[in-house]
Amino acid sequence: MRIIYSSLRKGCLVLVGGFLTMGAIAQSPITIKGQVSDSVEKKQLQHASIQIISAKDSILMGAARADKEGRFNLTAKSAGKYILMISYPQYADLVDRIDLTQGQDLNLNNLYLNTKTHLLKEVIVKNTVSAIRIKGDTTEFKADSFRVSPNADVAELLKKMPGIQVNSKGEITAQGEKVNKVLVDGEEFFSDDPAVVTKNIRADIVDKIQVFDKKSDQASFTGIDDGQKTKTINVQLKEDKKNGYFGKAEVGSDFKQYGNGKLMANAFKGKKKMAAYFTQDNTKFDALNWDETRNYSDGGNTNMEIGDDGGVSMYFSGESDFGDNIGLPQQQSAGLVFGNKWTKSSTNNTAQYQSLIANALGNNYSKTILPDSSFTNNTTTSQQSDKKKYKINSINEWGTDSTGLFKLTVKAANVLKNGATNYAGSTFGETGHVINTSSRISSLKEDDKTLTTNLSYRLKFAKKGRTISLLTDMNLNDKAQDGMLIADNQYYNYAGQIIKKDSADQLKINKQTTSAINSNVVYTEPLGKKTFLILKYAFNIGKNDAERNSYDNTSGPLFSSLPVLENKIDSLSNHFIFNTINNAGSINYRFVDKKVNWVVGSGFGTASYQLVDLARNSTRSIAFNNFIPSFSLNYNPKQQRRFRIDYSGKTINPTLLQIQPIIDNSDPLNVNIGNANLQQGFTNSISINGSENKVLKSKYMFFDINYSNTDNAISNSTTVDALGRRINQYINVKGNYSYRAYVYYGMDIYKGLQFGLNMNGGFNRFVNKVNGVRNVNDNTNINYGVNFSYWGDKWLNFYLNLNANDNRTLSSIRPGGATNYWTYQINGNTQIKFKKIKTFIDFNIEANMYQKSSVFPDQRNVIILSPTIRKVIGKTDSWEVKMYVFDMLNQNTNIQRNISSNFISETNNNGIRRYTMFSLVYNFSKNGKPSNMGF
Amino acid sequence: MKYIYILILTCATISANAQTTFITSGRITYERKFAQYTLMESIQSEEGMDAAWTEELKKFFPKMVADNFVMDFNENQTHYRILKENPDNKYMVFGFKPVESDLIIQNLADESTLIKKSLFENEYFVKDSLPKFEWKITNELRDIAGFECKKAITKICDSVVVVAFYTEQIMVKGGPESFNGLPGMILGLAIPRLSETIYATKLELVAPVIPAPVPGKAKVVKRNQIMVDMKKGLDNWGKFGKVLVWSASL
Repeated sequence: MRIIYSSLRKGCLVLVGGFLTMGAIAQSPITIKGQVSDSVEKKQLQHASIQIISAKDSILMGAARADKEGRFNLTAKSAGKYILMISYPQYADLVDRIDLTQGQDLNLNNLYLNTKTHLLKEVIVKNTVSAIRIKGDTTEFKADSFRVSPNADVAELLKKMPGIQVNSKGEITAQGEKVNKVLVDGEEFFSDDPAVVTKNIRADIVDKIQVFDKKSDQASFTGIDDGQKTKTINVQLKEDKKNGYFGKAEVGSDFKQYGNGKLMANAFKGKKKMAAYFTQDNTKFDALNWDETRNYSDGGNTNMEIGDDGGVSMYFSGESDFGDNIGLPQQQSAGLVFGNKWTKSSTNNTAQYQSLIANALGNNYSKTILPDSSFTNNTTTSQQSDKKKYKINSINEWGTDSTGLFKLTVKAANVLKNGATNYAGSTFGETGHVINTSSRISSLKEDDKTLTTNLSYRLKFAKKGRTISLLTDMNLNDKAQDGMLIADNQYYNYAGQIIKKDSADQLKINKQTTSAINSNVVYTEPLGKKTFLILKYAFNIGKNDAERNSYDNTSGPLFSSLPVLENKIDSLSNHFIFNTINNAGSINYRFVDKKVNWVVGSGFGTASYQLVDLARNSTRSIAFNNFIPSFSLNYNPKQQRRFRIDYSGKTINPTLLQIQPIIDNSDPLNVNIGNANLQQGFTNSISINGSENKVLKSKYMFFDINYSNTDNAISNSTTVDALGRRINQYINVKGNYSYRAYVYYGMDIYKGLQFGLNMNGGFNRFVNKVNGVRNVNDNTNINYGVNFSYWGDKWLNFYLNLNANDNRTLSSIRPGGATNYWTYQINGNTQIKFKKIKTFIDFNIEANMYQKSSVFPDQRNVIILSPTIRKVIGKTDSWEVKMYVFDMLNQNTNIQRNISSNFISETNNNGIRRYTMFSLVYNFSKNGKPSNMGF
Repeated sequence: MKYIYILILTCATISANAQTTFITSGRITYERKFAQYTLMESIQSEEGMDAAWTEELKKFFPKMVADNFVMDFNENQTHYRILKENPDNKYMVFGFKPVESDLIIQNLADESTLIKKSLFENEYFVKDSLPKFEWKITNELRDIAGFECKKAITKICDSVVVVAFYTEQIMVKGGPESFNGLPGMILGLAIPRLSETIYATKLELVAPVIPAPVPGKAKVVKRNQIMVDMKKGLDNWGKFGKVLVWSASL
């Protein structure tokens, strides 16, 4: 019998593990007996642990403890080779091989354990000194201490290091073992083949070379290895030399009128990032999509929200550069980004240019319902616009949450617009006779400069729950407009004779400067373990200096005239200064517990407005007190089930423009007049919602019910005269309220195929005045939706949403004139991936169907089908060919219907129709790649 | 609580001269840690997800999350549960946050187990026999909470490696979660594929009070039922679903 002592750390099971197994087949248990005692004192070791381990695979087969006399009794289920291990604290383990034979019990008699102290005396400790640093299992070489030629690669560097050999094929041997993995900065690089890495990295960018046994990825975190080891070299690069780039070039054309081109690149050097792009497109209004914005521009506004239940949603709120996008676009854009990061600070700077030329043609049909009659209105508009935007953004951050985080954002933009509008319209009475006709041509040149500065500071104190944040922003805007108006309006009597005519040929010169400073402070203080006090204070001050001047054009030819001071039209010229000061404070009390949390509080404030009329030397001041109570309660009875109740009240202040509007004659058929008696309104809103997510049963339910009413709501009063002119004034009304309910139910119907049902219904009562008569408009809208989706990821993904919408409107002034119509929407997308042949198909459908009604005589169906086929080619997959068909059925138009009160309208605008685009894309990269999150 | 003797991690090592104590009852505090970035990155790479998503998540979630668990034990039973839910703990992986009502009792005398577990919308009350593990004993040693522990390895769900460190000085064959069957108490557990570790930080030699749980509203099932429900519900969740199944099977 041979006894092998295990030393402090390294035992001998490794030696034993190599023993051959014997195919033992046995049934009846075999007993092993023995007695454990101390080798020196011969003291019996009670509770000593005795284990038998299968010699074949180290599996634990039995365990026992020694009794008072140190005796143990253990049974093995079958015969075979075992390892016996006896342990006792502070004693070296006794490890022995035992061979059990069927039917033969084994008595080991006396077994002696040695104390570790006893054992240590016999161990000679050897100290090794090395010039190379050894950290645990890792041997580290500092690259700079090995001299190599200037353009040497890593392979050459490795050859100089002791213990490392590199052969002619680039194969590396370290410490006698073949190196299978080479990492760069701890990450696997292009390939697992060591030769690829060592030949591609220059020696002078290397900081350190580390040689170690790499455990599996998870093992390297836990520090515990699961047995898998690979001899690995890690090439640690110098921080500032981590270089790379990625980018793409794309051209597309339908070989007729449409085309696009893109060139974008992102280069990085350590933490420094530099990106640039150029695009040209006459099929889209937006220059970059989400992925492109994140990879080549400033990242846009990517927001992430984390729900109470741990659910995460990420969304992107893109801002449209030029507001309304209608017609046929032609755009160009370019941008330059520079960013850098340090340990506790970062900077991100963007310069962008965009130009957009758009031509839009539209027509509008509207109906105005009056107590005793109605008017219909047909207009056509054509617009040409040319806009240019120059923009510089700089975002800078310093510090951390716990030491204080500063963020400074500066945005400067200059927008130049040049536009002309041609408008023609006529109004008809109920019997179809013409009431008025109008036509006008206007042009506008605008220079708009904006500077926004935003400074914020946030600090989390060491005391949990105590935070302070300060935010201040300053906005400056300067707008200069220069335009002309030629208008011609004619009014007819019932017999068709002209009864009134007015016309204008004017030059308009407007100037406006606004400045505003908004600041607020939020402080939260923990009161107890579960309660917090939240204090807020906000102070806003603003000034708006607006000057409008109209001049009669006497010099004749269009666009070329200069304003002459004597020709100034006093009734249409004005100069106002608006000053606003807002003061608001709020106090909230919050209670947070596991299942329930609520917050209750209120805001109070004052708002004072001052209007200085410089032309008439008069000043008007008005002030309001604001009261904003709120309450909300969250209840989570169990995981993934929640309810929420919210209440908020809010004072609604009239704006100065509602009290005293600026006189503007650009549309003589719509005239706004002021109301000095306008009062503050008050809105109450309450909402109840709840959700339940049954993850394992793949079912999801959500509902939301809300109600709101407004006391003294600010509404409008419209008086339509016999000439078809609308005179609008803001008034206070009683009785406005609305409610809405939404229910969604979704489930998995078959292996990942999701099915959802939703219903969204609402009622809205809106009161206004028409020709002095109180008019109650009741609008009911119910939407029914069904959706299917499948996210297979492997080769097929799709979604399909079907919606049907019922609209009903009734105005009390015309009880018989109810409007009722349905609209239907379908939108869906299917992606099919043939990964083997690198071919991808994408099919998109967007359909809108509008039912005809008494007001809208035509049924409108617009079905836009757009398929794409894409194939990746080339050895390195860097080329891509793409064919994209937009609007296969050639049906695209932009329709907007609006039924709000006694005014119903439908607008149609031209849009891009069918085209087939062929594109070629070239993707290039080195040491990096763009990220794709869009679909 | 009556403290007889407290052994605390890091500094405490048992003096060779001290009278050797074998422990059969007390309370162990464990720290369960998740390296959630590592786990998220492995899910992401296996699912072919874009790294940008994980990068965005990293701005909101810490690299590690830790919760404290306690185990009251005597010669016959172990009783393992979370010490206190920490509402500030941000778990990056949906469904990983531990729940206060969860509880695992190992009855070592009659080899039975009682488990209370909330998994998403389901509450389970398991009454079953103690699960058996095939332990591979190694020669590695590690000091945990002042105890010399031996390393043993087993597998769950056919392929997921679990590494355990047990000490023979605590003569109870139990461990955290459902792990048991080693010659002494398990003081350390690591599940590399879940980026999870459970290590004892403290042992208090107090007389444990082990209450008998009641099923309440939960349905009484066998252990296997949890796996059946999880596999069915998370069938098309890819790697993420697998990770949740492994975690539920602990």
